[in-house]
Amino acid sequence: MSFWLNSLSVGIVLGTPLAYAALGELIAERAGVMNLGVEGMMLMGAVVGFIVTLGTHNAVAGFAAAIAAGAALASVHAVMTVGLRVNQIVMGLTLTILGAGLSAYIGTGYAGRRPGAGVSAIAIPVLSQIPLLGSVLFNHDVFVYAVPFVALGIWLLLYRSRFGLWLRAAGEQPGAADASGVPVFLIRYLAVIAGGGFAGLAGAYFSVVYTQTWAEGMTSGRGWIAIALVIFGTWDPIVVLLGALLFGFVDGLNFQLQSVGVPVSTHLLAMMPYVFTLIVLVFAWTRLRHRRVGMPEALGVPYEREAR
Amino acid sequence: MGAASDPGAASDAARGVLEARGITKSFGDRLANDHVDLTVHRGEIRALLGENGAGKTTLISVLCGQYQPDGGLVTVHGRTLTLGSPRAALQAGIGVVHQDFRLVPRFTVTENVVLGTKAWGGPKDEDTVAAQASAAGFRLDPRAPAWALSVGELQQLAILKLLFRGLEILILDEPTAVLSPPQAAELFKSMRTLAAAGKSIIFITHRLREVGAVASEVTILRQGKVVADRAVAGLDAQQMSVLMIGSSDAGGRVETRPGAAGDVVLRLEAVTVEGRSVRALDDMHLEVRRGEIVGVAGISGNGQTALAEVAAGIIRPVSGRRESAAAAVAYIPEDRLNRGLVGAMSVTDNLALRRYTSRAMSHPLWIWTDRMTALARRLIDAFNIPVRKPSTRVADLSGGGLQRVLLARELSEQPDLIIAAQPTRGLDVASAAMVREQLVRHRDRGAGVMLISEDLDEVLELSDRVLVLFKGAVVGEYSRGKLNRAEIGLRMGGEGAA
Ligand SMILES: Nc1ncnc2c1ncn2[C@@H]1O[C@H](COP(=O)(O)OP(=O)(O)OP(=O)(O)O)[C@@H](O)[C@H]1O
Ligand SMILES: [Mg+2]
Repeated sequence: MSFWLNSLSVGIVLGTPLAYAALGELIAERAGVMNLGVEGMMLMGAVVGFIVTLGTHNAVAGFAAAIAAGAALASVHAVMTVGLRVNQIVMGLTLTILGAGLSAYIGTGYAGRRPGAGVSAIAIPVLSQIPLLGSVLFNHDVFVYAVPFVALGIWLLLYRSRFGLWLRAAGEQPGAADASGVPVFLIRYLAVIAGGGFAGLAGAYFSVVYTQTWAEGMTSGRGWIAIALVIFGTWDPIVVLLGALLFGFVDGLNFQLQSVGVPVSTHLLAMMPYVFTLIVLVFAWTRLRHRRVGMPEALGVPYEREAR
Repeated sequence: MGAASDPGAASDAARGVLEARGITKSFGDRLANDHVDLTVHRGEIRALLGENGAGKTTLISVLCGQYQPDGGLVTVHGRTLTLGSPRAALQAGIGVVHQDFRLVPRFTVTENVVLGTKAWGGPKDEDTVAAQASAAGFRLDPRAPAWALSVGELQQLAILKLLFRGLEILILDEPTAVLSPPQAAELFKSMRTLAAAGKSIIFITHRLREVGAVASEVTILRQGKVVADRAVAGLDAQQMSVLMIGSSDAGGRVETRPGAAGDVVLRLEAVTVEGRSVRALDDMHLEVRRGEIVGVAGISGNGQTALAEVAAGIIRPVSGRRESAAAAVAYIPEDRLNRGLVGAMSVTDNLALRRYTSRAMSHPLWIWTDRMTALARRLIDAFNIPVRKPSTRVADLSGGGLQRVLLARELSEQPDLIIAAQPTRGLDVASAAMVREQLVRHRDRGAGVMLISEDLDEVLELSDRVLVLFKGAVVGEYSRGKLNRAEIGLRMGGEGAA
């Protein structure tokens, strides 16, 4: 029993940063801008968050710096793709390479050190006393507790606010939005930069909270998983959150199996979360796409006012 | 500001609600607007006329802030308008119903209406929108998604969007091009009501009869310049087209002798095609013979697109059969830019699209670009395509230009079967006459022609046989000489005994 509970607990911790990164990407994509630089922004967040936490002995400062670092890299993407209408795919790939290289350079000499401060788990008084599930669900850090509220908040923002209506319009039909007086360019800038902030936070969660070390390329492709989660989650924040947690859970299972020592190649086990998430999401997707939520129509298309 | 310059209603009467002075806008070396002046008064309906490419859309794009002009000044109620900003134009009270409506398909009616205002489209907004819609005489469900609306409803939605914001200057770009005659009459009624309530309306059309029916003033553009600015009274259609074209060679009616029908070139048997919610075509039977024009009349949305695509062999019916004896089929789709042409490619490439694999144009390993250019030059001359260089991007052409490129490509190969869907929609008088002439000429040569059109007059004028399409089925068939305009009109609306 404790095997499954442990997997679940680890899974929640592993799924949380993925969820933040994916929700950030979702915001940018709903505004019509694809940012394939998530991996690069996460690495920048990871290294900057780690170094600042180490230097200030204050994880709050570390996370603030990580968010700023992710947002800074994203604003490069925004200027290039929204302002100068550079191809979004090319620019996103460039950002990933840039983030990986830059973070490795900045992080030289920090590998193997400990951050010196962290974000401690908070046991929620009564709830954490519930037998079995209590300690699994209600003995985590603040980022874990916040993530469902963040997803819900993004949902409310998208579907229950004026800004959300404008943001969706910018992603669906920027021409129609612009003609209606919606500041399309401003909204796309804000969405991309906010998305970068989320990716930075996700990266710092890896280095400051989860592994509590810095290593080059430590996010090992999770930025790409986040992008895939947005697509399979049909651009819906709630579905994206569930997908991230599912991936985290199977990833946690993988760690547990390895520590128990099942006689299966660790490489095959490491593939598990990817394969499993893919299968579940493909199933979910074939169901969800009938709801007519889906890819924003203008995703990836630079907007130009005088074009015809 | 002192009292003297205070913009009041009294001074508006003399000065005009909207005044544009010296608007100039060029694209590359093409002067689309050349020092254009335009004045609109309160409660006035002003028609804006001109041939394809005359600069009408460019002018209104400047007025609504989409284009930044190279020069010129616009004042609204005497206040200078910041140009190049859609927001500023809306704040000044200028709103446009674009040719393509500019709506968000995934948004509901309410969300589309409130987009850009303070509201976000909640339940309260739905009530407001529903109330405004019925006050304007529109039957729109505030919760329906825009993708589910018909063209007529989309247009009402686009107009409602402007009314919701309380805009005073309404600009309609070719609003009747997609409407059936009764729908157009309905629109004119709304326009008159709005004008009577003090709104000013600018209205673009190619149908000169409509000018007299609804407008009181008219501005005519020719090659980017204003050539007339006057009252409609005392101006007939003939004079208007002379002003538009600059000569009396207006290209009027096509000579229409009956054709001599030969063998069958296209036969559809029990063809059924599924549509979004209803059957697009339901057990359709139809024959087209060589040397005849079969006109398909009907209000758009009754299966025209599916019929055209099945007839051209582009989509396969769910059940039923298509038989065609034609060696070459010409297809002129309704959606020219997306289905017929490749917008980002040059005129030359578009003209060569159907034959670049032929020996005349290419070797298995390379393409003879000089031969392609030579072909393009020949076709540009033959079909009067309005471009200076064959290397011009097709998307930069105006509506008439696009249609000429498409016709040149499709008809220059001597097809046996021509499927033409809405071939004159949005074309000026001369271009439309050119299209009709071509169809008749190819019929006389022995091609079978299927003409799918919402323009009943056009169908009646050209067809040897007329079919009426309603809800995906043929509900009436008339041979030339037995045409009954009133009865066909009723059948188009689903009335009249079968
Ligand atoms: N964005 C653009 N880029 C390049 N050329 C353009 C652009 N917009 C318009 N033009 C050119 O400017 C001229 C005027 O075009 P415009 O669309 O204003 O004509 P129009 O009077 O509205 O014609 P139509 O009746 O076909 O709609 C045309 O020659 C067109 O090719
Ligand atoms: Mg136009």
